[in-house]
Amino acid sequence: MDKGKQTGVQEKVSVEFESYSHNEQFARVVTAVFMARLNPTMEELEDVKTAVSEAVTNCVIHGYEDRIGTIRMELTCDQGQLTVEITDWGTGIGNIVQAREPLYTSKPSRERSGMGFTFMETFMDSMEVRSAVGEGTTVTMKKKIGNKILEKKVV
Amino acid sequence: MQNQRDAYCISESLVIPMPRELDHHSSTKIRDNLDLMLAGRGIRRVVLDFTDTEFMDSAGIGMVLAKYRRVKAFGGQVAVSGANDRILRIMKMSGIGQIISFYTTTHQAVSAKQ
Ligand SMILES: Nc1ncnc2c1ncn2[C@@H]1O[C@H](COP(=O)(O)OP(=O)(O)OP(=O)(O)O)[C@@H](O)[C@H]1O
Ligand SMILES: [Mg+2]
Repeated sequence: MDKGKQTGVQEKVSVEFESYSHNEQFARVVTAVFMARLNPTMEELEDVKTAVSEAVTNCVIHGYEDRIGTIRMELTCDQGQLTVEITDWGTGIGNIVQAREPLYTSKPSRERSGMGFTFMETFMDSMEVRSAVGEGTTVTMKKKIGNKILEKKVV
Repeated sequence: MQNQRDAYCISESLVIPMPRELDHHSSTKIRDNLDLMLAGRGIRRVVLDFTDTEFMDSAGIGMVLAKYRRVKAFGGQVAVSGANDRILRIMKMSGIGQIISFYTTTHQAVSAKQ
């Protein structure tokens, strides 16, 4: 039933999925569908999809390495402010400052460029990392959506 | 998922079509036969064809760098063709614009002088 709720006002969706690499795409699609209610521009949509892809891929590759574990993604919107929180219960990060440096990767031999955190920072308004070795990692990213009213809207 | 087109040769170039969405998952599915091709066929340039690619994240950067390292060992070049503005921007942010040449179309990439 349509409760006539104003779109974009305090809504929350959370989804848990396993760390199979095909779920990187699943997470992007879920994010895009959730964002549609905020009337994002094409650029805002692509920015958030890229950031989500980076965070989820890090859970798959680094958090769980070669085993399958649970990834939780929580999407919140509040008056056009989008918050994305992505958590794994995997290896955790020992040195967060180093991990966030552009081009730093702990897996240089495996086709990694070390740009994931840099893209999350660049494409979102803010990014925060909480992590403990052996316990897991939570990345929280925020972005204001739908400011650029003159740009073409995505239906 | 999507059908990944196979790599093919045109004169001295090996063209590798990139998937619609280039992420960690899809990058592990690209079959390029690069080692076989470089070994005997006189390939001097590898063209990564982004014409059909709508999405790319850092996995694409890692993939381009990995191809560059292998092709450089053979004295060859790596080129990127058909990438949209957003993908070009992401590539340039990571600094790979320094080592790779960019072409608007795959045709231009394969016919460019070395
Ligand atoms: N969820 C996570 N769990 C454990 N370690 C992580 C996690 N996310 C990031 N890291 C660590 O932080 C480093 C930097 O991450 P970043 O995404 O910037 O680069 P990368 O994943 O190594 O390479 P790229 O993202 O370019 O493929 C990683 O190499 C890894 O050591
Ligand atoms: Mg990463």
